[in-house]
Amino acid sequence: MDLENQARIKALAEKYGREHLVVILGGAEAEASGLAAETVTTGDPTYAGPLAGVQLELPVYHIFELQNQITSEIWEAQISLMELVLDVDAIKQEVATYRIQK
Amino acid sequence: MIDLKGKKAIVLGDRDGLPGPAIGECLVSAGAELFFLQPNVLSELRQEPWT
Repeated sequence: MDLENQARIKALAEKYGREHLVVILGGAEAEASGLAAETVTTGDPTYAGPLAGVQLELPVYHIFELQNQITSEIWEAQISLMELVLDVDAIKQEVATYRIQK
Repeated sequence: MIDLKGKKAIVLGDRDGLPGPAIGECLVSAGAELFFLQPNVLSELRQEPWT
């Protein structure tokens, strides 16, 4: 995650508190999604950005994990096509790993 | 599973996966408040090959 976005997320977490925030990912790959999830939970794993060593412990989900909360019409229009081409199970499993560690 | 209703959602989309606006539309329908929307942030994690 780029440094500017890390700074923005850190500022939002400090201002509003983790209980009011949720991070939703749309990554195409499990590894990239996992890195983003790790950054907003246990801190920047590359130790390059403002979240290095900062454990925000924000609740984080990939949009694929939230299908049961989205109306089927909108899901079909916005998400379902990418379900066919991406490794949905791997992405969900990777993001859930960081959520459980929290 | 988290209840999205009333949550302030930070959306990190991916132009090669699910773009931010598409995720945002889903979240609004579930009652979340779009708080920060970055369409392409995850794509920036990948390194481009040298040319």
